[in-house]
Amino acid sequence: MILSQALLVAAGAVPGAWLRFLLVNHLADRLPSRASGTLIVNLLACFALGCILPGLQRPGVPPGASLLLVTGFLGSLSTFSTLMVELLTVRALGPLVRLVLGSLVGGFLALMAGLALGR
Amino acid sequence: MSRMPLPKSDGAPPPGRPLPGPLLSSLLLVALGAIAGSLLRWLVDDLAVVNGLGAFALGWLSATAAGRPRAWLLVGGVGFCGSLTSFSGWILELHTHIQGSGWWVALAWWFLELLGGLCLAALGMGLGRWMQRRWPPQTGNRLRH
Repeated sequence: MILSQALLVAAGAVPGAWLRFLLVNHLADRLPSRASGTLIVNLLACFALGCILPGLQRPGVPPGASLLLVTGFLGSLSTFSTLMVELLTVRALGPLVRLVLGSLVGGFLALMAGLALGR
Repeated sequence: MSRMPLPKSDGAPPPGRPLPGPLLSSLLLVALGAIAGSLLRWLVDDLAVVNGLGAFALGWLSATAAGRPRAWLLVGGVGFCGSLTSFSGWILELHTHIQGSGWWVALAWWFLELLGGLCLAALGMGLGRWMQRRWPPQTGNRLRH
């Protein structure tokens, strides 16, 4: 039981981490800073989380779906540690405040938008 | 060996950005770290704890990365720390706290986790810098910066 649950988490985590790695590297060439790429991936994960949460709570959905999609895929797609290290490397107040507020307000709005869409 | 697409102009990446390296082996290394990180997050089952732990670990890894094989950051940083910690879970906690205890408590909790994460990442970075000076890495397969 615990082994099959662990397999579901890992099976979701690998593509989640791959997508984050590829997207951040792809965006790094097109955005002013690497941190904005991380922020976009994080906001994307919040939006997707909002979209699928209502569906996962419907009756008849297997419990493993949440392990695969939320714990595994979206948990790995989004990252907190990279945001912390990137915040520490920002040397100006403006970009720092933008990154914090973008994470807080943007993350919350992305989640709410997803929830509205998923219901 | 297939490589990550580099900037079209001259093929040289901008300074400060680590080379992605051969794509296939990079993906393999990231996957190894991601499996371990996500399983640990699932087993610990306390987002504040794993987020703090991951922030500390990534601070340490990034401060000790110079002079190490690229697997250092791909397995440890992108894979393990990236998957151990979760931003979407943090925002979902904010949402849950707003519904449970109101806006101010939820925002205070959010900022407390932010400050804790920043302090732990700085602590990890400081420790990494000190260790890097005390025990510099052997020369060999160096990270290009």
